[in-house]
Amino acid sequence: MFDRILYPTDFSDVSMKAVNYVKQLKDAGTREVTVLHVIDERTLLAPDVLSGIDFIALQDELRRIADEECNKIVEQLREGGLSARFIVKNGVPFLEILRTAQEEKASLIVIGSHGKSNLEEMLLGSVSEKVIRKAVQPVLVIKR
Amino acid sequence: MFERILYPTDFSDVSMKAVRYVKQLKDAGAKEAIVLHVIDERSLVLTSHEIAIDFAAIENELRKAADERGNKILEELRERGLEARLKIVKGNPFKTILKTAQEEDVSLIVIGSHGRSNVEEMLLGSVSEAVIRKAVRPVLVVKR
Repeated sequence: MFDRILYPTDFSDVSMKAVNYVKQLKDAGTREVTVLHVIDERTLLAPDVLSGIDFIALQDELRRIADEECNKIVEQLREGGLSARFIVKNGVPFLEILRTAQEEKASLIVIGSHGKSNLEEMLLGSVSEKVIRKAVQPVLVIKR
Repeated sequence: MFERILYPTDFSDVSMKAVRYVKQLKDAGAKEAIVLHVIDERSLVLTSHEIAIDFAAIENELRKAADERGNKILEELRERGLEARLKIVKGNPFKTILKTAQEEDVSLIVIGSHGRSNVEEMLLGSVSEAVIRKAVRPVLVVKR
């Protein structure tokens, strides 16, 4: 029921709140956790080729940061006695989250209600909302 | 983290799927489960006074049925070692669920993604959606 957890994160405060819940689920049967970070590919495109932004360098930086942050989380989870690994993907966040849930055969998705933007007026972040709607797996939503 | 669980139900199939999850959470620290059934008061009113419908009788019937079904769930939960109690309240479903979560100071809400209507096109039932948006506590959404 809870054996394989997919934990998508953008490393925001709300998202990080969810880590404690993942750890607590070990006693409910969780064995493996896949930490997923999606680099939003739409921010890596420029309509104007002459804008002079080095997207390759940007991409590398983002990946480096993602690796670092993901490693920290994986360490925390392993300390808690869970088997954990991480994946960093490029793509459209909610699509990659849903795809990864399928590929990893996740039994549960644990996700923060909001991400980095955390708009006060939005009672639910856009990525979290889509994941909750479209996932076939149960979703544990950790509110901000 | 999971000590007191609020489990709102309309006894529909999707809702009943969630009971297993409540039971499994005992191992993760759950001690008490509050099973809540809200009798939708909006279906117990008519704007026209010319039609004589005995709403009091309907309500009684609904309460009786809710009591019976609710008690079965309590039994299941207690067998698993959880303390459990049943609340049957007449009111606006999502408002009552949120109010109860507040009053009972629950640690988690476990809810089915859909209820009785279970409209195919709706990826999330209206009551569940409202609860997920407005709850301040974590919500475990069990999908259909």
